[in-house]
Amino acid sequence: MTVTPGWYMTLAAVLFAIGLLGILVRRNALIMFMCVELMLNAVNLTFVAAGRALGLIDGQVSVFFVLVVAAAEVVIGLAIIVAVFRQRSSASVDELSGLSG
Amino acid sequence: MLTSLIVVPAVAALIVALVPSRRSELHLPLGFGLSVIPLAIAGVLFFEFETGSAAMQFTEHVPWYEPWGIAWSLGVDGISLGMIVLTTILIPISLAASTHIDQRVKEFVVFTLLLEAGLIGTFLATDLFLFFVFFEAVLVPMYFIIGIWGSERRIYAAVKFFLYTAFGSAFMLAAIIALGLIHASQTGAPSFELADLMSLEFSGSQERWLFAAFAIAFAIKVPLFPVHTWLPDAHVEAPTAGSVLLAGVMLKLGTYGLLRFNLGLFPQASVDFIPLMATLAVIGIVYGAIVAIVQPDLKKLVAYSSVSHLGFIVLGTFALTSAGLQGAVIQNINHGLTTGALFLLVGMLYERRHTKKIAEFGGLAKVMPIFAGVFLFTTFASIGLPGLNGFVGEFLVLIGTYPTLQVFAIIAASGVIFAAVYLLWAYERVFTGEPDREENKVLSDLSGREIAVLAPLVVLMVVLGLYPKILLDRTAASTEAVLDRIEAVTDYEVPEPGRLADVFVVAESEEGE
Amino acid sequence: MMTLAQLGSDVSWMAIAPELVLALGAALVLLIDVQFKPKTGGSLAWTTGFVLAAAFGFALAQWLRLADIPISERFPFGRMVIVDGTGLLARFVLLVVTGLAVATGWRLFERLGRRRAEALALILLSAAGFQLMAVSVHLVMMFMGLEVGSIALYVLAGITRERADSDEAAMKYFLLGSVASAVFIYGVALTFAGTGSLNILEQNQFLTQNILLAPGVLLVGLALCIIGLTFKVSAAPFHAWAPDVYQGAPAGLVGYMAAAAKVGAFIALWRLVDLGFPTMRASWAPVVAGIAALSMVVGAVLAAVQSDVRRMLAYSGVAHAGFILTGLLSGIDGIRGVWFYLAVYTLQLVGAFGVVAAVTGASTSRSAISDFAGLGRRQPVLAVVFSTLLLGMAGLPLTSGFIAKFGVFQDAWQAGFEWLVIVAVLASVIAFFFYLRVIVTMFMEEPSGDDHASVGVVARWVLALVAIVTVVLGILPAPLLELAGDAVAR
Repeated sequence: MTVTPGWYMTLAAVLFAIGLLGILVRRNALIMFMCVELMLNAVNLTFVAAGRALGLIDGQVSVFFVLVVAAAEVVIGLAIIVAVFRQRSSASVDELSGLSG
Repeated sequence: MLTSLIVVPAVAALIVALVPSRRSELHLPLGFGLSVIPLAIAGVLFFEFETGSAAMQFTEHVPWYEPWGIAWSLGVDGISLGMIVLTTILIPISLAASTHIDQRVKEFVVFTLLLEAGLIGTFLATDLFLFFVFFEAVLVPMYFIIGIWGSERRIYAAVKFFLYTAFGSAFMLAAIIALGLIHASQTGAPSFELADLMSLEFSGSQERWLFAAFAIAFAIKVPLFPVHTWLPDAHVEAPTAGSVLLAGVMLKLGTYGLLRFNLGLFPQASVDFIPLMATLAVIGIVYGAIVAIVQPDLKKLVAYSSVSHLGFIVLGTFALTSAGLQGAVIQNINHGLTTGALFLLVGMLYERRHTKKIAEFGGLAKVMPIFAGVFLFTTFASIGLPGLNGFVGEFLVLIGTYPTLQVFAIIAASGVIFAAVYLLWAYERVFTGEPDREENKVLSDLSGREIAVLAPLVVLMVVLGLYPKILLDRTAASTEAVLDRIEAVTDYEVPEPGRLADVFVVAESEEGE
Repeated sequence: MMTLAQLGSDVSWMAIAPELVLALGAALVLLIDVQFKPKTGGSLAWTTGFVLAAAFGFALAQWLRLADIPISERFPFGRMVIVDGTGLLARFVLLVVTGLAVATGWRLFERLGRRRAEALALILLSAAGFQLMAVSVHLVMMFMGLEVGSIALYVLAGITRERADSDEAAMKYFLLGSVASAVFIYGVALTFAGTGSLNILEQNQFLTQNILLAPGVLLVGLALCIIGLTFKVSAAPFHAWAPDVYQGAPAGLVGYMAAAAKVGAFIALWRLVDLGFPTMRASWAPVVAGIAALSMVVGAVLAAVQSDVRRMLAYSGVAHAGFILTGLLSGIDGIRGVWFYLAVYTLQLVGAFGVVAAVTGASTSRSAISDFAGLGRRQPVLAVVFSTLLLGMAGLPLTSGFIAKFGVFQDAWQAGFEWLVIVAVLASVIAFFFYLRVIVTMFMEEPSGDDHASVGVVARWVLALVAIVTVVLGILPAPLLELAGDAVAR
């Protein structure tokens, strides 16, 4: 059996779904954040697979952009999480219930 | 000329707003003085108005935004003329009657003048978009007048008033958009000009939906049963000037709208909806009257009497006869004068005794003879005593309704009797007998200013009662044109002797014999 | 007829000059701060103002000679960017909004101390990001613009990091925002897989020239792109972050945060669905209509039960997103109405938050409606300005908000979404209720407790100006509408 690009894209879809599910069910900010990373990497896989299947370089190039964005999000995200952790000594989003109404 | 009627009050509001707040003694006189200017313009308008012509007169048309087909388009005809004069009369009177307002006088005068600009704009607009703009815009000053200067439950009343009306006009906005786009699909360009929209052709269901959307907006404004519940609250909580303008002019936006837009734009649907509208009107007449009888509060009594009286106007409108329409237009004015005067009187009483409960009074005729006299006179006008204005309107409505809606006319006639009951009974309880309460024995009679405030209304009640021709001449052509169009577009025929022409032919042949 | 591939692959610095100016300006602000360590914010304020003015100037220059730019030069940078009226108007709105936000929220920048340079630089950068988003016709480019703008906003939400609320807002915004970004870029990847291109115009070309037998992947991709963008405009059901962020972030910045993201994302959304996928209209229009209807109802109903002005404005923002989406449904013609709506709404939003910042303090979070009690007596000017803006948002006639609503309703009705217009007019009645509630509190209730309201001279004039513009555009909307009409034509 040959592994066609379709398989890669299916795998990517599964990874993306796992990431999204993780966001919805996990309550630790760090883990939620890693789920976002997982989603972004699923996107990368999709890009590469589609680029390969279509014979276009655009897919692979796009991956670089997504990687850069992901890196920028890491920097900001970790900084925010650290700031919250210093305030509350916890990284659970359930503790973040000051704002509601 | 018409634009100045809208601009002058708005500029007057601006001038008053620019007077510093600490010179609070200046605001009311200044506002009163400035509000006489629109009255003068309206007077000129009234006598320059060409009788016998159904067309819009003094028209003005300035495109607003061409691609949407909206325009600053004004005009006056027999249907709106009287309302404009009434508005310009009631505004100075309301201001003159508001000397009891002791806080935020400036804002009060500003809002009253802005209200005048908006009300006049609503009656003058011949572009539906412009009409809607004014129709909604008048809510804001009235909302503040009730909400700031009203009595205890003023905020509740103000919000209820605003939301009811805004809810109704939401449907109207959708219908107006639809009309503009139907015009675009039939002629190529959108237009909201009343005259343009009259040439549209609708499918049956389309026309009924549009009619319903407009009717909801106006029925809430009138207000018709069962959407009348905001009215007693608003009236009771509003300051005197607010009640006068609310009853005198604002409610008339509803009856005016029904006549101008529902009958004008949707003739077939108007005919189809006669049973429903007439039923609601008659329910309003009887229900308003019965509820008025049992009211312990004088102001609430007058408020419910408004529901009853406005039922007459709607009934006359949907009778679709010459006399009915004429009666409706005239009754619009009459009700503004008499109910306005009644609210002023109740307000003056309230200033003296700080209560409006009927049970608190008794035997006031002994202490305040002039007040009692004016009250009784106004009561007679409101009941429709021959020789006074109320008689002309109600009589025309009833004889107009009889040929087409016989049963409704008979039931409605009972409303006249009820009116006599609740008003005269109230008069009896408040004024006759011996003053038994100490507080009532020391009440002062009307002051010179108060007499001056009421005098123009009383004079007009007599003038319109004895010589209604001055008004009927100006309205006839316009109301006839409405009927002509309905007969031309639909299968509906006004039964004899429902048309003015029938009446005149009869009169001439009698002379011949 | 030239094919797309032949069109401009040149570099045209002029085409992105406003963004370049903003990015360089951000660097300049930081450098001035590092080099001169100014004690007060004066020099930074002037620099920021100058940068915004310069960017506006470049955009204006391009606008004036837009008609002369041939089609071959309309798509520079390998068809990544489009030079058109809509993009330029989006820049005008964003730059004006940015300037107003800085002017009205200046109290906050003063209080931030040495952090004020960071905040200003981030504002300039995020404006650049959202502008790029609005002028891009390439989906990865659009994503970059979105991220540059959004990441800066995450930081801005938490810029007063001593306050727990501010942190919490930043965290929530960041987590949900990055999920939305991931959803969007996944959608981009799927549309790439489906059409073989990342360029919106080429995707459209592909779709008009080919008949898709199995459009499944493409439809999923388009849906994910729409969801990602509707998240950014806080349309229901993707609005959950908005109230918390609006409430927790410093008052002086919320107006900007809300307005800028909306402008960028709405223009991008319009480009995506109307330039890229008009052929699949039958598929996306019902979805967008559903989101619009849900937003209007959910936003209006939930706004009515709020006791905090900012949460109220956030939920009302959800409803407004629904109104704007209603306009988006009418295709290319609808952009005029959408654009007008965006322009007047963002202006009102920034103005409203300027008032909130003045009344409850620029760096605070939370603004209970009761804080506004009796404002009509304490600060009549602020109260009148706020009332005007609220009535404008409510869409009362004689304010710009009414013209805006009328425009989008008319377009939507014409496009055959009569039911949506009915939902919309009813939602706007509910909207009257909650906007009026604040006005009631300001004018009809007695002041309670201490009076903290204070507003700087500049901010006062700017706010008054915004209110006046709201009324003037309600009476004389024609110039702005014509401008918007021009933009479509170009």
